[in-house]
Amino acid sequence: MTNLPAQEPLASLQREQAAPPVRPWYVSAALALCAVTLLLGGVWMFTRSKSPYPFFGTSYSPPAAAARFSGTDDLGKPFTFAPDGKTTTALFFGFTHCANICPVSLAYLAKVRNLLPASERPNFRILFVSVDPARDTVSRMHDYVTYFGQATGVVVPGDQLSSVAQAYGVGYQKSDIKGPDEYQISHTTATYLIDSAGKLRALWDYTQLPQVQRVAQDVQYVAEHPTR
Amino acid sequence: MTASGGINLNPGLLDLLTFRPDWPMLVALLLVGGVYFWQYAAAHNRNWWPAWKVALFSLGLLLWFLTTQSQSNSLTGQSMALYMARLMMLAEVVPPLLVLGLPQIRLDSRRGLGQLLGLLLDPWVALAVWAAVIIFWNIPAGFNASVVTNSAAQLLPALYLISSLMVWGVILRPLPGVQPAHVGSRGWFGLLAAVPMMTVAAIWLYTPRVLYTPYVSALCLWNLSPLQNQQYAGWIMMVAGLPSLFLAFGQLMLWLIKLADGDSLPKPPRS
Repeated sequence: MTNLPAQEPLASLQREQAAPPVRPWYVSAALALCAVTLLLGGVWMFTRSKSPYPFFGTSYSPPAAAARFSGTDDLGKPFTFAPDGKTTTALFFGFTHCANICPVSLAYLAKVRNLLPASERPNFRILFVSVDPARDTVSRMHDYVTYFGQATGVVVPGDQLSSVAQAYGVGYQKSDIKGPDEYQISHTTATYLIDSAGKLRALWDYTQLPQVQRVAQDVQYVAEHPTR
Repeated sequence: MTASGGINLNPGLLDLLTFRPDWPMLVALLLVGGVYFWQYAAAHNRNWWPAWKVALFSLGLLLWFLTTQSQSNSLTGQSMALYMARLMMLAEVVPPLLVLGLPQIRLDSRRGLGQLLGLLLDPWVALAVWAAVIIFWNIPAGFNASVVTNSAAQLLPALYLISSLMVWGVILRPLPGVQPAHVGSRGWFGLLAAVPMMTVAAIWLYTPRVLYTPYVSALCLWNLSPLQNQQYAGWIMMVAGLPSLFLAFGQLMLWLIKLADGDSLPKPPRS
């Protein structure tokens, strides 16, 4: 890059800056096709360099440690989420008064589980953590998770829930408040896929869950390739 | 319950502008700024590189920095309006400022950098790349979902910036030595690039339901509903698109005036 010298006369500038000839349209069109191919090919190579496996969900690169937490499961027993070396987990945060996203997500995750080979199903669990511990009792959680799927419901005490949510980047807030026990909760809708070593490997937005076949492929890959 | 989990749902301006580095983008920004000011310092003739160009380029760099190196980037999933504001800043505000800030540069269109820029600033190439970025990452149906979801966070801001720089480079023609397009074709090009965006903006503004799936039931910032967010996003898109639309109309008018004056008509052969 050179800027023009001071003594150069305007005529010289105009001569040197004369526009080049216009390309024929078919040459420009061919160049455009090459540019788009290069762009998309480059992006494809970038994503493959980050993760050799083409996750349908958004992959964590590198995998991050999933936060541990404790609470009460839907059978009333103490529950601690920690890696056990064999179980792959799909973790979802929701609440039992939810009429749309939570039940739909649980139902799709149950379908994903059913798509796995029979031998792998016992090692895949679906965790449903309540963001409404004030109303989600153990029995209500049990009825909800068994009606809509095959998840394990977990109630984390209110004072610990905030830090668990923060660890996963989950947000929630009361909305449509009509009374102390009559309200909705707006919340983030991601499902987190955690391998048996306790590492976050991918997340799906709820709009991705209907493609159960592709979600199941992610689960199967992570079950077969946990982090070391 | 007043808690909102791990997300601040009522961020103020200071929260949004808190420094949060995107390192590859920051390196690119520093390189571009470094080369520009190094060349400016080495320039002998400031007539070709006036202070107003430096001011515009600096403003472009500042807005580029604020848009890509701030906490607001992590909150776009909770606000379609914020997402759109960031996108429009990278597509419609920063690129024209950077392009207008360029000095008169002498380049040979047949070799090296001049040849490369001549290819990149070919209207067909610029429009195809820009359209590919918009379509591939915003209309996921039918495309490779894995590539889309796993490249969006890291590559998309850079791709918006680069493809929009190409489009604005065609419209403003900062390098006449390597860009053959006359004012009329640039006007048509600008119109072609601006009208689809304005159409989408109008749809978002007036449609009665949320159209963009990830935001249908999103937890939104500032207690806005997803539909309000979509309407604000439509406003932002429309306002941001107006300058390029007006510029395109202006260029077309200029072209028509030239045609009327006979400047573009073939000259009779000299006897």
